[in-house]
Amino acid sequence: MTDLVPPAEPTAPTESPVAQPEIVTEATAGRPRRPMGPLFITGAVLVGVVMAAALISFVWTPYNPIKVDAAARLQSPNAEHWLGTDKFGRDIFSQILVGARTTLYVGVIAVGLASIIGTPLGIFAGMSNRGWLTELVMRANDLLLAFPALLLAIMFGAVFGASTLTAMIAIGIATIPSFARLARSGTLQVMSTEYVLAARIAGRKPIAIAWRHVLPNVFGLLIVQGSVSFAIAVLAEAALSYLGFGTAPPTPSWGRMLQEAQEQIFTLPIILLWPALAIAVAVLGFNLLGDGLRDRFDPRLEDRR
Amino acid sequence: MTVVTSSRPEGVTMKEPALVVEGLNVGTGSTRLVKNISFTIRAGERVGLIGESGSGKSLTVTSIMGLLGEGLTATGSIRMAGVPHDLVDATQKQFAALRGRQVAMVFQEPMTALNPTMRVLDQVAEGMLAHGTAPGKRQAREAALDLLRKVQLPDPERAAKAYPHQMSGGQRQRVVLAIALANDPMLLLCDEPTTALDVTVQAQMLQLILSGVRERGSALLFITHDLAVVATICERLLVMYGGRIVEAGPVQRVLSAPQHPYTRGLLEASELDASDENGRLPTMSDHVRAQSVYTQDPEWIGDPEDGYAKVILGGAA
Amino acid sequence: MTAATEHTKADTASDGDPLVVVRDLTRIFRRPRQSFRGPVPTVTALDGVTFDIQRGERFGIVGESGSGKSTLIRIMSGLDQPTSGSILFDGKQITGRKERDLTFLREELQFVFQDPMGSLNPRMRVRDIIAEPLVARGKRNNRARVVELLQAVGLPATAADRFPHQFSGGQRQRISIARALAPSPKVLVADEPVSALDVSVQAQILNLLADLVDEYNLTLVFVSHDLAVVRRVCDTVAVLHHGDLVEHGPTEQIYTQPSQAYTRRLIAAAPTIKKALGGVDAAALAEGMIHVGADPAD
Repeated sequence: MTDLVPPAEPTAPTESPVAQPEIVTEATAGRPRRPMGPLFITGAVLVGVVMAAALISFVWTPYNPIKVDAAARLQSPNAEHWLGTDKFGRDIFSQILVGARTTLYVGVIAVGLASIIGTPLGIFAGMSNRGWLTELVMRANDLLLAFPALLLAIMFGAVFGASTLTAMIAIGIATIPSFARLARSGTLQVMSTEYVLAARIAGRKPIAIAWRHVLPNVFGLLIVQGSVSFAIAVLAEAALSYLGFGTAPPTPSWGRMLQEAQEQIFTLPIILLWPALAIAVAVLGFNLLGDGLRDRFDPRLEDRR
Repeated sequence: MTVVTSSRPEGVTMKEPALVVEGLNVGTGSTRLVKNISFTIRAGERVGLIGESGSGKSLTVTSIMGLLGEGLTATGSIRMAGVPHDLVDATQKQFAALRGRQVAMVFQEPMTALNPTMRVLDQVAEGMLAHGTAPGKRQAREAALDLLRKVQLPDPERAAKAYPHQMSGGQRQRVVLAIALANDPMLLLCDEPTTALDVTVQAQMLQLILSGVRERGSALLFITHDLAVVATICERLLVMYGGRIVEAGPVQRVLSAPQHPYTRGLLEASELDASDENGRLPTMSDHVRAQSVYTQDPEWIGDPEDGYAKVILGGAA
Repeated sequence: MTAATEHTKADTASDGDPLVVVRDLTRIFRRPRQSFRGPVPTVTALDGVTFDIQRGERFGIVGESGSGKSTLIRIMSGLDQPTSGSILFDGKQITGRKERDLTFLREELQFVFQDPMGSLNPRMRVRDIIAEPLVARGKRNNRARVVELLQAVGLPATAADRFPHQFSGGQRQRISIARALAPSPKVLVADEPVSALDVSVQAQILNLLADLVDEYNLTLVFVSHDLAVVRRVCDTVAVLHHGDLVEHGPTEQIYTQPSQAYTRRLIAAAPTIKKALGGVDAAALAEGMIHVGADPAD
């Protein structure tokens, strides 16, 4: 009988509370990495393909992608030209490889610009307790958001001359609001948590709170936004080049290839397929990668499954 | 694992129980989280299922409701009076016909149980229309308004037109209860329905649950971690720990003469006016929690009146 | 009040003076407008609350949701500003100051939150969480102190390298307490520290708090919706209801002979095992008919 009565707790709380049955025991053996999900792997592979294409294009392409060859116009895929040739006789496979560079370039610069400016703005707006300053930042943001990205890019193109760089900067600026808004809403959420109150009571300065508490906890959101924005930037560049306001000829761009191949939609539809496929692969790849990264950045999800 | 059915007396059906759970196991692939539990709830009986987080009490309820999460599977048998099939093997379609009709549930967090974009009255009426227990829309609305009066919402006519976010937590929980009682369920499941409420609101809510099931002759399975609440509202008690029912019996008996060390520890820890020899609150120490008595799988004892439990009888209490 | 007078006040504040002086504290929140016309709708969370907390006292604040108890301790911790009224902490004014001017308060008053998960940053290791108040004071080399604090709350040193989600609710609350103790504060404010915990763990945490208050000579401000818990932990209690301080005095007296109807209702409505075994059912609780103090003696 006596051995069944729970003895009162000794003065020192317990010898090892970690041995409590409720603890997540597998976690005590270290931090096993969560197996990567199939979506994440698919995304990584697709993005990897695009990156590999861009890298390969620096050292090798089957043909000079901008060399016009009147004798080899509009060929279907064959042993010489694996993906066929366009109306100027340029090798499509070579153009796709080099076009990958343009695509990644655009994405990196546009997303980089947008996140580097948008994230601090959003965090600042979310943490500031001076209402008018927040209002100013967010209304300026709304103004930008109301302005169509493509129109901004076209205006930039008209003023500064159509080039990949102006297109990227315009897309980047147009993407700032989506980062700023997201960062702000994420920040507001984090600022209302008790661990931020705890940090304030601990005497942490706002900068430290932003760096230690807010940023790591909105990072996952931003990564997802980054990958989605990347995909949008890729699409926007394609659209701009398609409209003639993006990458200037003869630099290969998937968007312009699409536009040029459009004329052959009834005669040689296959050459329309390649740039479309390439854009789809890149967009899908970055979207999936974003989802996968979000899961991996959340330590709470790590020890499950 | 020995089959326990053999060691159990016959006659669980003698009083036409509302719910018979036999040899229920819930688990993910390799781990069993609910381990071979059996209990019966007679028609109109009020049973409390008590346990701490991780005890398996919520899993038990979710398997009765057919709401087990992904990757969780149940084996064994769950029979409900008037339902020809075993709930363990029931399809989601069969559950849909059952939920809100024969069995209804009140959750801990009322906001998640209500549709934020629908007026309260329509949400109460919806269940009656879905199960065809009201002949038409107008009758359903009238009945719904009546229910809102019964759960003592202040100004029910006005509350009926409100959206959930315009109400307080206690008022929302009353709406959830009205929805649960709308079709006179045979069994009402309550999962910590008052944990998020203020003490004074909790008392009113408990009273409404009590009168609601009494009027309808519904059986009640009340899940909580709070012994005082369960003692106030239930006739019989099942104590769960580590996925097993470790003690079962009438509330008075279990609380005045607990047999299992875990129940004893829980009871002592709930007594805020008790002190040990050092003037401290008695606690259930971790080393007692880890004692082998919790990990053993003893024989079933008990009878259909009290329910079956795997009690360690270390000596008469 | 000028900085100079504050200093003289601080210097003259002796051990006999109350540690916290709350005077006529009022906090009115604005609510979102429901229409374009008329004044901005408001909610009065605190309405002219006045009381003192003595050094070494275990001061309980009891109230239900909407009573203003959270607002009160937030203002007391310098996380919010009152609409009017003042709080003196150890002779120094804490209301009306910018947060960056509250460094002295951060040294002396620390907080334990209700939600043991939400109050710990899920992305930080336990050692960084506990060391945060130290790092905020520029003390970067603090491993030994972290281990010491972990031991004080009954956790092993190995806990330092883990993440909050790897602990149970009770253990997380111990981590939260360790963090609060890090700057060696005078006052520990505990906001419903056990209401999110399992029953058997509640008693452990309450014991731990009592031990720490003794060991470090802390003044405890303990907030709860549960008068029975406060009765166990505190020697003085203030009962808040809709922003008003309805009753204030020694806990035992208020629990056994409440002078206000609201306090009586609060005590009567709380279910206990003794009441239930004595035949008090839900209806009786709801009507608050039980005569206070009629708990059957054992």
